[in-house]
Amino acid sequence: MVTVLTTSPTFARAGDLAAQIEHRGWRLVRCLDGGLDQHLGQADFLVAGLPAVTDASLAKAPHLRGVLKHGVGLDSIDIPAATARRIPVLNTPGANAIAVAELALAAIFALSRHVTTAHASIVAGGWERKIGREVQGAVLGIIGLGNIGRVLAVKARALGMRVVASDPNADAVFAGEHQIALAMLDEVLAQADFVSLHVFGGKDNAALIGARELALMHPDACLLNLARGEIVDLDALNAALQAGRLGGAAIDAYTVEPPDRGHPIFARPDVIFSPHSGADTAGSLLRMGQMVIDDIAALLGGGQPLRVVNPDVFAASA
Amino acid sequence: MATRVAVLEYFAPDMQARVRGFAGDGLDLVFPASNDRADFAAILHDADCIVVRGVKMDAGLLDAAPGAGMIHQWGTGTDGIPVAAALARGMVVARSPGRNAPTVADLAIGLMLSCLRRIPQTHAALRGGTWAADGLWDTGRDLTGARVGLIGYGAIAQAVARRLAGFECEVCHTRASGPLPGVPGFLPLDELIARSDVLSLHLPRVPATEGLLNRARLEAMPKGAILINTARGGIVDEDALAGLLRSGHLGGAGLDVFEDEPVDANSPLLQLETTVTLPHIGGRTRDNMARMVQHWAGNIRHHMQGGQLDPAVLVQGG
Repeated sequence: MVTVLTTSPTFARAGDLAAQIEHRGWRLVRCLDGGLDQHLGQADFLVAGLPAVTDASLAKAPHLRGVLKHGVGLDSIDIPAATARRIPVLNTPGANAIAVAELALAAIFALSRHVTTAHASIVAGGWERKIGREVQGAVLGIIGLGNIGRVLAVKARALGMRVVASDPNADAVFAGEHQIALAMLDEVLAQADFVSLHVFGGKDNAALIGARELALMHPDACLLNLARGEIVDLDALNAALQAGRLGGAAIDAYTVEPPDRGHPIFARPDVIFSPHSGADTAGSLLRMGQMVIDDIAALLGGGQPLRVVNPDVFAASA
Repeated sequence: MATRVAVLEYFAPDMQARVRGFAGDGLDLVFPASNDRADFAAILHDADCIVVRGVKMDAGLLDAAPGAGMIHQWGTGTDGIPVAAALARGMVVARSPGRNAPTVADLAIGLMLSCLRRIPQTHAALRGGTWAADGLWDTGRDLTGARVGLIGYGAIAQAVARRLAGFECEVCHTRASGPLPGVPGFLPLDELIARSDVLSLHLPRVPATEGLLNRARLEAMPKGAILINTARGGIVDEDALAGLLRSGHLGGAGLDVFEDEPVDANSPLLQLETTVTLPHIGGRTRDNMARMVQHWAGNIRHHMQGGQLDPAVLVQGG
């Protein structure tokens, strides 16, 4: 029997995905609160959530035939170690783009119209009618014009926003078609009313947005981080908000998850928090889960799925 | 001599200054000390013109304004003005139809996204120490691809439809006076209700629309559908809505307006996990304030100089 081990709380929750797994005769083992090592010995496939997949954990998995990231960001997976063990690593690019882009837009509207504080005020018996701002006509700065950034840009244009984006590998034809201005990071920060980050995590982008970058933004501009926690220096962000040098923020990703709520930023009324739920919609989970199931089936059938990020594993075994 | 304009709504001093700035020269704006009726009466005795915004003016207050020849609604809906009594006195009644469309349409889209992703609830849960409520993957949903129904098809609804162009939604509408020639997407009211995943109200509160969304029509919405009301309270049966949200038949409601405002702290619509509630801020943005004040101030100046107002802004009898 094929054993599929998952550390993702949301894998195979949507639609008929669990039934598909059962129908194929695979055994699904959920491992959500540690203890990964004891299950790895029997696992044929690991469907990875946010917990790290290290060389040490791979060493405990002699039967492993694939690590499939239920998501896009591969920063928590030691890909060279997997390659050395000839284990293909896959992810689900594009499947969550709509959901993440929509959460970014939900946050933009919520920040513009004080939705979280107004809702809390009404529920507590108040009626505080704050003045907001229009999203139409505002400038959206997108850092990283990959799958998510592009979906976000197209929706933002339909909402009447102006879009300026920074990405060294930007598709200039796409940008031209959708009237997206391309610029360097500093310029995007200086121009935007809302800055949304859609780059990978990991060392390369650690503290990409720090005190210097925040100082380039308008005093009433808002920063959105739905990517990875380490990309933003949280202390610098809190200091900028505290000093009135920034209008607000929305945070969906944290360096440690769940985050330590003792950090002063969690007391701020001008920041909207969500629990790394950018991809958590029924539609997104259906698309991601289906990609993972299809790719496991392809690997079992001896195929080479398109979404393998270390195709060398196949060349090496040929 | 400057025209005296009584603005029947309390504004803090800094906001009064902003309104005066937008209104421009030739108008002497007076504001009440509070939203109490007696404070309204106190500024009406020597008013040439009256501006009504979110607080209702009763017919009796006309007696306090013997010299006023014009009432202007700061907004589109004139349900807060004693129209028949004012017209009977020979007063001119004017409004700003459609001028607030971008700001209200923004909020309608924002409420759709906030409901589909439960923005206030996940935010409050995270701040309160709950990382991710169980079952978020069941409740988060995409706006992209949803079937959206617009009840009413004036300037605001059309602005909502334009914004949805980036979401690949199937957008249909209904309107009391039947299909517009050459405009696709019209459906009879009950057909529209039965097919919409997201139903958004964009019609005035008049006798014909009071209770339009009654229990039977709310029950006819598809299971899990969400209702967005940025129009007026009184169009929806609030008790029936609360019951259907509690039973889970409806998936959510985004409500900016209520039958009684401020909404009663004991309203069954508050405290629901699936409802996003706002204090009637549909028109409240700094962009809209500038646009609206400039419009009514221009109309008042034109009228006082003996000019004829555009028929589109004049409120007739009936």
